[in-house]
Amino acid sequence: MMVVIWGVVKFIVLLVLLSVYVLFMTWFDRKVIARMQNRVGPKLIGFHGLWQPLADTIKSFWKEDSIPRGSYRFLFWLAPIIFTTCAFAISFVVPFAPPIKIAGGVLHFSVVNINVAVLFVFAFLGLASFGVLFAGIASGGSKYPYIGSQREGAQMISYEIILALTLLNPILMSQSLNFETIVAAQTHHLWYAFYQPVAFVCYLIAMFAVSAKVPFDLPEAESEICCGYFVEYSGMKMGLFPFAQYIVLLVMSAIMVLMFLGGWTGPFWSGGFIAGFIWYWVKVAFFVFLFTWAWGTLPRYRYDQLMDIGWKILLPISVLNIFWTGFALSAHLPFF
Amino acid sequence: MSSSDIRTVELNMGPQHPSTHGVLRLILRIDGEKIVNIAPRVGYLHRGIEKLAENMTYQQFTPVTDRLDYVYSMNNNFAYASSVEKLLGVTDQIPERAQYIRVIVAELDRIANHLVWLATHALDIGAMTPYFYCMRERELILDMFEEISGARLLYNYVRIGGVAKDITPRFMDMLKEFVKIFPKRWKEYDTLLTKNRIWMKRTKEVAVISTEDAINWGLSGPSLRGSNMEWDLRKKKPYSVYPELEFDIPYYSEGDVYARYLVRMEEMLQSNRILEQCIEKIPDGPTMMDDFKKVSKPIKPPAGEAYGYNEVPGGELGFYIVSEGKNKPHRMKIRAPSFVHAYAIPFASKGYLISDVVAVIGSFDVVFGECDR
Repeated sequence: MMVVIWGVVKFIVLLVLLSVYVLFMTWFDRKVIARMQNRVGPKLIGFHGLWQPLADTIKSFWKEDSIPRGSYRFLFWLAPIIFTTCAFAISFVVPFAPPIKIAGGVLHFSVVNINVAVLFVFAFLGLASFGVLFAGIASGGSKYPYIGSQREGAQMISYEIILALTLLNPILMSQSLNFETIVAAQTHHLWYAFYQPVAFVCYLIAMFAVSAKVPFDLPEAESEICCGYFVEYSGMKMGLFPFAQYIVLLVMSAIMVLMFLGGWTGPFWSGGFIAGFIWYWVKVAFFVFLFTWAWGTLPRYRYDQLMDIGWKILLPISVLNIFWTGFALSAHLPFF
Repeated sequence: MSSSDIRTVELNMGPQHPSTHGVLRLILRIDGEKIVNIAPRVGYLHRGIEKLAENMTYQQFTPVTDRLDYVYSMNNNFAYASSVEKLLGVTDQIPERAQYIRVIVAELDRIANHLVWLATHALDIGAMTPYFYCMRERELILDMFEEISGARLLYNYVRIGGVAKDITPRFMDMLKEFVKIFPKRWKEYDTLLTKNRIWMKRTKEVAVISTEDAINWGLSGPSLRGSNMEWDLRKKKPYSVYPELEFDIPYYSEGDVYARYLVRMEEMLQSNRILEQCIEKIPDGPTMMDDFKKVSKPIKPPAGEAYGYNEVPGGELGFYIVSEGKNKPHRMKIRAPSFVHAYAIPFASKGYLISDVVAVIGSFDVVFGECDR
């Protein structure tokens, strides 16, 4: 019983924190991109426009929520719900701070600390693509959403394979699917990014593609297919898509840090909850910032080029890399 | 297209699409992402400008030419004024100071147009930041135009017989400052895009047009120069004071979107070079022929016809004017480069992908005020 109550409490806290994070993140995104582009960004509401996202959310809630005639109403409703639920589900298993030992046990900073966390993430990431596919199909023969969802579906599925293949390396090396154990394994060695530079780079690229951010933002390329799969959505139903995307983006960055960059360990001043917490969030924040940075700098790839990179370059490389890791581990090569 | 063709889908792009640059409407026939066929539909911005000309005096029509391609209004004024002057036979009597001022504003306007083109073209291909960098420099040019003409978009500055007003000393200071800083700012766009791997992947070998096709489709200006054709009216059929100025015609042989991009980028620097020379060479003197100082005084060209052309940023803009000796033209035909280029879009982008269509539209720099007239 205690476990359930404890889980619900953690769940609610996480829900609130993630919502606040997304709100802050939209502000941060707009401020950073404005700075890069010689603009000011939101300025009027609150200190340097800090309450702007709140105002936008209130506006989204009060907007007319129109459903196009001829759409499949059930799927049309279901799509944003699936997408958002999956995004939250992914975040349940990711620890957001180092565990603390308190009297009688360990306090984990994830909603559930399960042994197959990495598998769980992939299961729900795969499911999330259904939300996008449904959004496109349910829009009732509207063609831009349809093309957008086609793109997103193909992109997510092909890059999740690469994501899985690259994450196999840290899993092989640490012999665990639990994030906290994987981090603990890295405290004894160097970070896995140094053992697995190839997997690290492949994951970095695949991370951008899975979360559909520049330069892989084809599913919502506004200059080609006018925002893609959620063109027909309005009000808060539309708002849920970017909302969930920001969460996916955070979780992908967090997984990056946990799997390859030693989570809450640092090159110096490590150990202890506060040091770990700061190290962890500095690293995560860097990758979150990297998304914004890329957005301000890079053009967009074309659909066939995206598929080429995925299937012809990244996939063979990451498969070969797994063989190399397996060989290195079984032969007990130095550093492995 | 037969209805039994179930593999393909018809997709309507525009007139309210973000990257059809105004009101172009393309009806795409797509097979997955691949373009099978394109049918352009133009005319959403048709205002009957050619017909309007028949009911207006020659001076009254000058502000209407601003509304052709509103991104390079100065060049439109210039082209129209020189066409009427040709009809009147006074081309060689325009005061020299006016000639230089015309070239200065035309070249500034060329830079301004290419900045808008680069901004929107990059935005279409997904790069957002160059937009704001380009607009920052365009703002400087618009400030200069505001200083001399009082307007920021539709200037009505180059008039028949000269220019409306003399340029101010403040304008000259601003111009000198601009000419100095522009190459540095140009470097910023260049750094962001020219050697960018993704940019090259998106633009190289896309929409390749051979020299022969380019000529057959009637392309002109930078779009033609991207297809290995050294053709610039400022050099090949010189007008105004261009023969006295030194500049190169950039041209590239690849014929793809990237080549057209390089041509336009290079042209901005060449225009800057022309401006540098104009600052030194501009003489003192009157800026308007005495005969045309009063706008109310009717112009009655002798019966006959004339075709005046200018190298505007988009290509060759021509005014073919037929006069019957009255104070209004009998007929005026405008040869608009955007109209010609809009009809080359289907030819150039057939067989490529949806993403390439926006790149092709951007690479031709079509503006629909001019195309639809």
